[in-house]
Amino acid sequence: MAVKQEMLVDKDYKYGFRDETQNYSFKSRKGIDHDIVEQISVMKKEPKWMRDARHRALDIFFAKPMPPWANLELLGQINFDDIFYYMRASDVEGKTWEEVPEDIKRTFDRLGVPEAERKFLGGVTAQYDSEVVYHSMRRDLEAQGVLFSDMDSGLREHEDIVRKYFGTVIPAADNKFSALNTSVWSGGSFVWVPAGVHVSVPLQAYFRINAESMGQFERTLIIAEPGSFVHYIEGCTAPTYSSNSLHSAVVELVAMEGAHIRYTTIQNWYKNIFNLVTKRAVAHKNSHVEWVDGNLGSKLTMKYPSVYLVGEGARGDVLSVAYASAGMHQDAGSKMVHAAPNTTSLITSKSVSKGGGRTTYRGLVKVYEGCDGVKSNVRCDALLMDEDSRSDTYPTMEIDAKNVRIEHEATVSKVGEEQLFYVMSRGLTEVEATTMIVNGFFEPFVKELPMEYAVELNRLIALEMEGSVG
Amino acid sequence: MIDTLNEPREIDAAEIDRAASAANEPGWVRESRRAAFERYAAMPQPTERTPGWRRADLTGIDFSPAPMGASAFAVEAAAADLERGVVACSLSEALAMHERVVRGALERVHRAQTLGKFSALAESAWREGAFVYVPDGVELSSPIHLTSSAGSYPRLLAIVGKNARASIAETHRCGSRLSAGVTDLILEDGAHLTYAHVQECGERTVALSHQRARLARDAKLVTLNFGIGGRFARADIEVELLGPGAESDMLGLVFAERSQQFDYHTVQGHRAPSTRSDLLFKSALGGSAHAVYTGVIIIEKFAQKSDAYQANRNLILSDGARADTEPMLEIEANDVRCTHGATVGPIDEEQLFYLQSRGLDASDAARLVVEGFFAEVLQKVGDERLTGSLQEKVAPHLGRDGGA
Repeated sequence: MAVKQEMLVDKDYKYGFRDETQNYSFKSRKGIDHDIVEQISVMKKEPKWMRDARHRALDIFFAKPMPPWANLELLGQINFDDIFYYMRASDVEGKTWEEVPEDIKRTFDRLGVPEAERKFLGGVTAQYDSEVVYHSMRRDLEAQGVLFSDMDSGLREHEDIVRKYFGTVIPAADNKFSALNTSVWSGGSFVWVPAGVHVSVPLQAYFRINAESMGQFERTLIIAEPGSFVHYIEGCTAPTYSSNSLHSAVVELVAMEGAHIRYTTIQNWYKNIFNLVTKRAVAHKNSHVEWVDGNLGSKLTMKYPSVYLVGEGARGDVLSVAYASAGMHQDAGSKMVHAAPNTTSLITSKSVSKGGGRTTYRGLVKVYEGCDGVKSNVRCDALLMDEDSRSDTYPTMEIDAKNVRIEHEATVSKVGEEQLFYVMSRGLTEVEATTMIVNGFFEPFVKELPMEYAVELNRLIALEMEGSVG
Repeated sequence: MIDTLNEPREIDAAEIDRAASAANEPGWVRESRRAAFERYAAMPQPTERTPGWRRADLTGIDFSPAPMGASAFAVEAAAADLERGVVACSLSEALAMHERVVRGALERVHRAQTLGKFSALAESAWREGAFVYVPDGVELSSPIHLTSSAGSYPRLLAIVGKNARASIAETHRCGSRLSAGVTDLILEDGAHLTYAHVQECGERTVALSHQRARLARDAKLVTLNFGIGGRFARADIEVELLGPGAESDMLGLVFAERSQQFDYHTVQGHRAPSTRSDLLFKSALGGSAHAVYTGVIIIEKFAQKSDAYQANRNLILSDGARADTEPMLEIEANDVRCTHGATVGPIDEEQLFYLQSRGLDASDAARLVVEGFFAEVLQKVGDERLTGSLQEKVAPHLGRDGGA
């Protein structure tokens, strides 16, 4: 019964199609070494400092061990020699929708990109394989002086800004995967918001992985100058493949004094993807950084969005949800580093494990000496849908200051019998009632999303809850 | 004192064999000492990179083994209880007189052991030690007090029989450089035990304690770890709920000053269905003291209907004090209720303000808040005969460093 349901879900997996794009203009060979790195950099006509940075990072990647606390059983399945590290779909970037090649368009049609274009009236950066092929920017964004492009163009056109910040928030040596990303990165977004500018529509980018054993290593850098605001949304969904794929992004945010950055991610990678992402923000005086992070797919996700609160009065928020079903491990969490007085942080984490899935919250709250007036609150809730699933909570608090208020709370439980009974007494079936309760559990997250995402998420939950009862 | 006289004697396998022969111990004890020493020798000395030791500041902490001086306990037990078959004596005596019982208990303990390096050392090098046995159905009329004031390897084995009731206090006052102790508590079906572990070692002592409790069906254990002494104090406290209906309340109180370090590790192991555990560890930190709390609740797949709670509260009394807390959950069963919480902060301004508005000066108000912070834990122990004197042990320190 359970098996049948699982197949049904797989068949209906909304974006689980496979496009017949074969006309890659460039396809690197599998595996990674200094030759490949050199080739990527030469192809992209990069400045020498970036090429050197790539080579240095590759040495760090080779030298660094896997993190010992991680799920090494799953991580060990990655065969780094069996992955393409760079690939691009076409040499020319489409500036308007009409210029985008037809077969790629078909893929995006099914993803709903043109609709998003119409509805969001914002800039769309759609990443196809490793390269941005379609990218439009609304005229008023340009008028406001906002820079929004793919990272490769960002490096070409605004080298001074990129050079100033690249790798300063997340150095290559931070961890094995940030080193890998630094050496082979391609694509991603570059955003620069001038002082005082409020970007009223969310900037969006769609990422996809669309070649078997194809790695994707996007690199995003967002700089919000003093007093500015920007909301960036990244959503991804991937087709079905049989062999393992690796996605390893690096996202660096810099919020200057009084700036506000909100970064929303929904990842729904298919169950064969390793999603090993490093995301970190530096928050200056009185700035505010929010990570809204939804992890619904992938085989193994390791992602701990962090905020380094380096200026007095800065604030960091993380709101994250995770869903793990059979064969999946969502190892997510957050890091808040309070390095200035009167900084505040709030972490809310919610997870659901089902059908043998495993969710882990792993977090750190660190307060440095002399940082008085720090407040931090961490709240983790986990739902276990059945007896095969597992939930772990590994929070850490390192507090070296006196006048601070640090709180952590977590619960793990199943869907309450009483809740279920109450909802069913209103005439709903057990599946409907469970779906409703799980939707309610995710509600604080869902209501932070734009409408399209919220609707899609609720539908995904409904799909996943089928077969969760009985 | 005795230690210092014996200091030159290096501890090694031969020395342990010699001591076992001199004490005329049975062969299986010698074997188990030898095996424990091998485990000790095989594990590396802890550094700040050793898993489980990373949060400690080990600068200047000397973990080299102390010589095998006897760790005798002063034993206080009511004569009336002894007449009813209760045994309270040294572990060496017990080996001579009740070998079968001791052997049975130790074999059970050793089958499941999760030994650290220093508990392995203690298990290989203990002498004298202490043994408590409460027969089935017996209720102690008064608590058994065990006090160790000398030696480096205090070893306690306590067995509480079916449906028996007991209260035991184990107090450590030794002033030697190193104290590495092991305590095993065995609770048979329906046994109730209230156990206090009081650590008031000397200022230079590196005080290490490994406490392991095994609870059978419907057994109930209340433990209190009270830490005030030592230079570097570490306790590993593991409670294994092995029978359905077993319950454990784990309490902890640390009062740290100067540059004292307290490193507490707890395990609430739910290995059977319908088990319940509750944990409350509190520390008040003055001077440049550093407290680490690392605790895990494990609920195994078949331990459905379990209920677990874990709370760590840290009160920071001075600018140089630090607290690290790492409360962890590993949950593999779904029909459970599991919650934990941790806080770090100074004395609540509002509480101070309230007390001062009632006419108390600032330092009296602060003292009262800290006393209240401790009183909550002591009350939960539920046996004043064990906790009555503990509040007083903290009181003299509050005037000096406590307060604000």
